[in-house]
Amino acid sequence: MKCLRFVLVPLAFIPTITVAQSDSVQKPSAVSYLIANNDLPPKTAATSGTVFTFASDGTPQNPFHVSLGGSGAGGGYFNSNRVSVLRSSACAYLSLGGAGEIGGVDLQALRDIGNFSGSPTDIGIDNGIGLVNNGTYLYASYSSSNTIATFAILPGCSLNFLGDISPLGKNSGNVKGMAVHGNMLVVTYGDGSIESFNVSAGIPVSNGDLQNATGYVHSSFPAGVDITADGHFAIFGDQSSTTSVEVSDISSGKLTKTVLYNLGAAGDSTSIYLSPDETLLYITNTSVGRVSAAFFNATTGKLSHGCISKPLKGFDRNWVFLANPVTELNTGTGSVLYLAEYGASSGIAVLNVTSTGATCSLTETAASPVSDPDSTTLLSIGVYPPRQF
Amino acid sequence: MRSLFRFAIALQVILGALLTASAQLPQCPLRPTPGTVVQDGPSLTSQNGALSLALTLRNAADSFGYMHYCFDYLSSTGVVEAPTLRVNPGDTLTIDLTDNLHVVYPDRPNSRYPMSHMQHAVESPATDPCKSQIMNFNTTNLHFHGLNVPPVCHQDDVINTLIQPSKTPFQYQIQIPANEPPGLYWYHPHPHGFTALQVNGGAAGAIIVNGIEKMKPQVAGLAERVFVIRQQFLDPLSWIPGPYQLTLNFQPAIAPQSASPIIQMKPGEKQFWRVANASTQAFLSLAVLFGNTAQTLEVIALDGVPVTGDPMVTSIDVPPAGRAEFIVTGPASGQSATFVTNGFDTGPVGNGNASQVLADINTTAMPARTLVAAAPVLPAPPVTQRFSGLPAIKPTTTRKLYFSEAPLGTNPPVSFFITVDGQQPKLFTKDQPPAIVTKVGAVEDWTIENHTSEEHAFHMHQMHFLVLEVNGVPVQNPTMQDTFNVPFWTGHGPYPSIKVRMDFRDPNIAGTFVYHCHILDHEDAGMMAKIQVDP
Repeated sequence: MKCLRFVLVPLAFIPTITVAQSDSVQKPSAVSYLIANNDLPPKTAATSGTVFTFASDGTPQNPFHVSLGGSGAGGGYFNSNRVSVLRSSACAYLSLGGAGEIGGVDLQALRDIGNFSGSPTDIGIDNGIGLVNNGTYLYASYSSSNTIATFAILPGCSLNFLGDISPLGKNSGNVKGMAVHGNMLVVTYGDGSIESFNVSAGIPVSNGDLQNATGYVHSSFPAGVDITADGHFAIFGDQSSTTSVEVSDISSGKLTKTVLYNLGAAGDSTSIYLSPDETLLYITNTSVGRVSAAFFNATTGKLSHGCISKPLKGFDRNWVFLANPVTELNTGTGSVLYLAEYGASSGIAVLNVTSTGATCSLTETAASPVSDPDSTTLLSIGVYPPRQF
Repeated sequence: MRSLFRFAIALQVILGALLTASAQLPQCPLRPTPGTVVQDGPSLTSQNGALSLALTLRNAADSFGYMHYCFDYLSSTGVVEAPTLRVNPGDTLTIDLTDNLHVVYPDRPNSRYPMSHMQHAVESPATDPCKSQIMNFNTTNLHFHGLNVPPVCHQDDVINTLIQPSKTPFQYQIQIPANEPPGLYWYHPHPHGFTALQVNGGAAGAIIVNGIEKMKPQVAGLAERVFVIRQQFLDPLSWIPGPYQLTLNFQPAIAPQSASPIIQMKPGEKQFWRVANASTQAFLSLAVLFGNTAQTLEVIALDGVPVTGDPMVTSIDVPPAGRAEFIVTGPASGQSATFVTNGFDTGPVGNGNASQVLADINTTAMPARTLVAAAPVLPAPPVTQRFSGLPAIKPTTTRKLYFSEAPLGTNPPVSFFITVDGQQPKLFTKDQPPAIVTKVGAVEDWTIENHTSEEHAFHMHQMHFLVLEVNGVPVQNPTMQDTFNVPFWTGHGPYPSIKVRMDFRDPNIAGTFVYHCHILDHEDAGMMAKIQVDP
C-alpha cells in the first residue's frame, strides 16, 4: 500500500496544473463559499486555498485562488479537517502541514491575512494539521508532534497562540480526530481510544475519561468525530474494514461507553458529518469510493441503515481517496453534499441528497466532480456559512 | 503523500542512526561484492539422522546504511552467514539460537507498525521464552517455513515463542516427518510486528529435505544451485518504498548501478536450480533469457513439493516466501543470457515490482560444484506420501475468508485484516482466540477472497494446501503450496479469489498456529489469524 501516492500523484504533474484565477482578477461576490485547502506537498509549490461560489444547483463554480505562502502536507488523515470556518464572522482557517502554520483567510476580502504558528515543536508534516473551533478558540492537532495547540481567535481572523498539550491514547496512539462543542473537546487517538477535555479556559484539560471505545476489541478504531447540536452525543467514525460508527452519550460532561453500529459492508468510515438537521450522518467509504448516509435520531442517539451512493466518478482512476463531507446549506439535510477527492485529478464530488425520513438517496450530479485546479492532494473542504453547531 | 524532500530528510536521520549504531556493534559477515560469481551458501548436512548447529542472530549496518540481520554460524573456517541446512526425512534438526540483537531505533516512532503491540515491560531475564510477553525490536524466534512440523514451543511455534537477547541459546529441535516431501524450505524469524524488519536485513536461510531425485529422477546427477533471493530496504521502517535491493545469495542485483551477479554454467549444461523468494514483499516472475528470448524451464517442485507431471514453462510466478525448483539449460558458449524477474503487477495500491536482471549467466568450462545424488538403483522403501489422495477426498467443511484493508489516511497506518466471513475483522494479537477451530482428520475447502486493490500472498503455517481454483476457474494441474497469490481487486465485479483444499489429517500438526499474508509488512500490521487444530 505504500507507493500509491507516488504512482498516482507524480511530482512532475504538479508544475503543469492549471492555476485558478489569481488574487488580481475579479473576486466572487456571493456570500456563500466552498473553501478547499489545497495542502500541496512540501517543496513542490507554495500551497493555497481555493474558494468557490455556488451555482443555483449547488455546483461549486468560479474558483478563486488564495495564496497561503507556506507548504502543505500533501495528504494525511482522512478524518482530520484542515479547514475550519467561523460562524460568527467570515473567517476560514486553513492549515499548512509542511510549514506547521495556520493561514487565516478573510472571506470578505478573500485574502490571506497571515499565517500563524504554535510552538516551535508543533509539527504537522506527516499527516497534516487538523482544525476545529468553538468561536472563541481554535484547536490545531499537529500529526507529527502529536500536540494540540490552542489559539485565541482575535478580530480580523487573527490568532494568538496560547499553549500546547501532548495527549496520548490509552494504547499509546496519537491524536487523529477532534470535535469541539462549547466547552468540550472530544479527541480520538486512532488506537481505539477516545478522551474528552474541558476547554472552558482555552487550553484543554482532560475530563479524566480516557477509554477504549467499544469498537476497540473488533479492530474498529474511532477516527473522525462529530458532536450533536445540543452536545448530547459524540459520534465517531471508525477506521474499519466495514462501515462502523460509534455513539457516546456525553450529556454528563464526560464520554460514556460507546454504542457500536455496523452500518454496512463498505469499507472505511473515518470521515463523518452530521446533516444540519441531524437526521442523517454522512460517512465516506474511502476504499470503495462511495459515500453512505445513516439515519440518526438526535433524541436517542441511535443510528440505522440509510443509503449509499454508487461509486463516484473517477474513483481509482483520477482519484483514490475520499474525505471530509460537508453540505451546501446549513439547514435540513444540507441539500447538496460535497466531498474532497484526493488524487492526480483532485476535485470535489457533488451529490444531491434526498430523504423521506425512512429512505434516502445520494446521487452524484452530472456536473460532478468539480475540478480543484490548484490541488493534486485535496483532502479538506469547508463551507461558509457553516453548519450552526 | 510525502515528498522526496521529506524522504531525504528521513533518510539522513535514519542513516545517521544506523551508522552510529553500526559503529558500536559487531559486524555481520561481509557480503559478496557486486558483479562477482554467485556462490552457493555454506551448507550443513545431517549425519546419522541428526543435524545440530548453533546460530546467532545479530544486526549491524553496512557502510551504505543497510541494516543487516544475520544468522551467524561459526564454521571451521570462521563465521559464515545463514547456512543451507540439508536433512533427510525422519532426521532430527537441532538449532541453538542465540539472540544477539541490539536496539537500533530506540526513540523512533514506529510508523510502519503503529499497531505492533510493542511491549517494554520489564521481564526477568530468566523468563521462559515460551512464556515471554515482550515483543520489541530485539525479540526474535524461528519459523521453519513449509515444514509440516508441530506448532509448539521449541519446534515451530511463532505465537508464544519470544526470544529476548541473552547469552543463553534457545534450543529448537524438530523431527523432519518421514513423509516430508523432498524439496526446498526455508527458515526465518517470525516475531509478530518485527518479522519484516529482520527478514529485510537478510535473516533467512534455505532448508533442503533430501531425496528429490527419488521422485524426480531427471535431476539426478545434475549440478545443483541453491539461490536465495532476499530484499533489503534502506529504511525498513518507512512506509515509503524507498531504495531497496534484491540480492541473490547476498549479492546485490542492482544493474546498472553495479554489475549483475554472475551465474556460471557450462555451455548447454543442465542445472537444477532451487530458488527461494526470501524477500519481504517482492512478487517474482522468474525467467531465463537468451538474449530477449525466454527459455523453457522444467518445473520440478513448488514450495518444496514435487509437482505432478513435468511442466515446461517460460516463467514461474513466485510470491514472497514461495520456492521454485526447476531445470535450466545453459546457453551456448559466449551466448548472452540472464536470469531475470519479469515485472509483476500487484494492483493499483500494491508496491511496484519492476522487471530486473537478477544475474548474468556466463558460460565457463569450470566443473559444477554440488551434484544432486544419483537416482537410487533400488526403489525407495514405500512411504505413504503426505497429502496423498487429497484431490479425491470430499471436504468435511467449507469456509470463506477474505483479505481487507482499512486506511486511516493517505499515509499509514493502514489496518490489514484477514477475516473469516461472518466474523468481525480483527488485527492479529498474540492473545486473541483462534478464528478457526477444526480437528485432526478434517479436510476443508477454503475460498480466500481479496477485497483490496493490491495482491496478497496467502500463507499457511504447518502444512501445504492444494490449489483448486483461481477466480472460480479450476486449476489444470493442481499443486501443493504453502504460499499462493490472491489476485487484487480492480474495484469492479466479483472479488478475486482462490479455492484451496486444507489437509488436517496429520496429527503432527495438532495445536494452534497461524495463517497470514506473506507480504511481511502486512503480517506485521495485523493481517494474520490463528487456527486451532484439536487432536
